[in-house]
Amino acid sequence: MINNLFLLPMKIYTKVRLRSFRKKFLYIGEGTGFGRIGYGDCCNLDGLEYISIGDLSWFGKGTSISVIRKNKIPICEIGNRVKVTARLGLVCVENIQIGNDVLIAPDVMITDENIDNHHPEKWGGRKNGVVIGNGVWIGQRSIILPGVTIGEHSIIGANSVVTHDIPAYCIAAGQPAKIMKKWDFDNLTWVKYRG
Amino acid sequence: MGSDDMNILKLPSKIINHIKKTRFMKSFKSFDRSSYVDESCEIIGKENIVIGSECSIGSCCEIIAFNSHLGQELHSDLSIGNHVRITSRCRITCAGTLSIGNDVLIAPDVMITDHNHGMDPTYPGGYSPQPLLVGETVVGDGVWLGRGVCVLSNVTIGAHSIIGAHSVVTHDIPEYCMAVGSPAKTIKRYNLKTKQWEKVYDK
Repeated sequence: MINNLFLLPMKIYTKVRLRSFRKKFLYIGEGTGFGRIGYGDCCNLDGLEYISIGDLSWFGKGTSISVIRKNKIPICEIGNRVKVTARLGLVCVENIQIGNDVLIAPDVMITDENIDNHHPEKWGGRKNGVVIGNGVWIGQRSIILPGVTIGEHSIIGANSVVTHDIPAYCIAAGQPAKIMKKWDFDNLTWVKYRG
Repeated sequence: MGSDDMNILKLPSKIINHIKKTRFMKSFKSFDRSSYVDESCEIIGKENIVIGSECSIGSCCEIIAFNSHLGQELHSDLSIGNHVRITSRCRITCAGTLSIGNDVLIAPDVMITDHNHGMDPTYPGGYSPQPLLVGETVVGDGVWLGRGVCVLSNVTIGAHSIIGAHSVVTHDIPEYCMAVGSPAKTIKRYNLKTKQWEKVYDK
């Protein structure tokens, strides 16, 4: 009983802090949480006013999301039911879109920051935005480089470096990531991909 | 005389440490007192973990033996042998049977696992709610895992093999081999007669 009385002000304080923290987001859905905010292994979030996150997402401990405004207003959209295990490193200066039901393993890095984000014509009109489709699963310690689009329900293997677009319903792995298998809709199995 | 005074001053903290360690050891299935686990480690499911003698587990490691996953009941069994050196930031997750042999050396940032998520892309709700595919992973005696190695499920690494940095081990590796790459392939084999590493040429 006495313990509870002592804890009450602390609880109220954390609730107030959490509410003011949530208000800083562009949009944050119901039931979305971050691992251990304000403790040792806390999440590190910058540029909250540009981040919008859907419902029921979870970001594990050590997540670092930094959205930096340079010339344009950056767009960072994260969907519903996105599950990040731990230590995601996300750097956004232009446009990052993550779909619904995405599963991200520990130590993944996603970035859209390139040599010269705001003069793409110098580099052959290269796009820098990163798009990750619905239901994608990204393996441990993968790196997603600028200008990459990953199609729906694809799997990226562990320790991969994704430098080019990956189509939907594929397993890609390696450095650079290459398509290893494709989903066969007729037999409902993964089939080896040649070519 | 002076050193004796210091010893007396240190006695209470030593007793407290002893009690703390005894309590910590009791929560494991089996834990040898000569082993050392850093305070910053995160260990979940201690009742399924066996740790042998004279092991050392460095800072910020995550050792997880799941009891359940989204309602799916799991019987995990994680055993670590004697004289195992695990350095910092390793992640060892276990949902089935995972065994690490004696005298194993594990570099930083290594990931060892014995399970995988289900891989049906047409499952509603993506990959995360699918039931786990539980397997068995064995790391043999005297193995040396380089920095950033990933050991996936259903893999056996033979005794005294070496895995190069940032490799991904997806298939079994035989004994006395050096394997590198993603996926890891054998490049050298140890000749026990000449006591030298010899190159292996793929056909």
